[in-house]
Amino acid sequence: MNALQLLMARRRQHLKSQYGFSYGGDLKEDSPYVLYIHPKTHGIALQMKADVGRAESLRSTESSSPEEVAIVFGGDVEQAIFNFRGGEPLEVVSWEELARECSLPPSRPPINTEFILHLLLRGDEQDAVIGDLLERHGRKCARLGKRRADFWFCCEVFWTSLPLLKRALFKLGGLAALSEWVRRHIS
Amino acid sequence: MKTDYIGELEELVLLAILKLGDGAYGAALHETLEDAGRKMSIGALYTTLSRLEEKGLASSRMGEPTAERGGRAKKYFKVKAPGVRALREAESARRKLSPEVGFAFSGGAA
Repeated sequence: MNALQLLMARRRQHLKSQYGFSYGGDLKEDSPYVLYIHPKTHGIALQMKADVGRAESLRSTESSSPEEVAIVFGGDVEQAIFNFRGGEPLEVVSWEELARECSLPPSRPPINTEFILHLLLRGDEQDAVIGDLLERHGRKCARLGKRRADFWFCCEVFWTSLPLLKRALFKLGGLAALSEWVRRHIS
Repeated sequence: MKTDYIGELEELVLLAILKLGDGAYGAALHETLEDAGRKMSIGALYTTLSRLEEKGLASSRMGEPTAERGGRAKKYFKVKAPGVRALREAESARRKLSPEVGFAFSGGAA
């Protein structure tokens, strides 16, 4: 199960608990899809290929029920999910927001690699660099799946460690040279 | 007056910061550079950024922590006036040289 399917599974659970029904259907990442749910009929009504424009027209023609929910997957529209309910303006929900809404735990990379960076990074850099890596890992997870995202993360930590290690060694070398100079001139 | 010469990578990073404006932080910069065809590690990006800060060409500030980053804060970057000047100088040097080596790009030097 890839990240997208996992996210949708969570979404289904969320809808089931909220509306008392859920829906099925396969999702593909490469093309935009619309999932259209009609709570009054207690079931999934439609699943169709669509784009944002199509979703807009769907909303305008079939917004009789205030509880209609539709989710549009735009393959290349920055992985955005458009979530709208009848009568309300189209609301853009990001992957992260949806993940939070579905109480999807934030993607966790292999912890040891993160620990390596803790050792090499300065205090002020730790938040920024590790946060950036985690953020990109989360996006890669949604796009490529956890295994490939983890692999990307490990490679990235390796390549990130090299310049940091070089810097740390340079500093250590500088300190050693300084202590040697002090030792010579004092003794 | 001291002239700040910048390397190719520094130039690209400065341009990426300018492109992103207020949203220029590590992950966004990394993604922008990757989209532009320049792949590098986040570590290499940060060493370049800290070099730009040391040279006084860019400045940074810590942003708000977010859940998707595991509660870690973003570090936003901004190009300072000397950074813009350095970019202009690099661009003008390239313009002066380009006509003279133009044949190389059109295959004349092959």
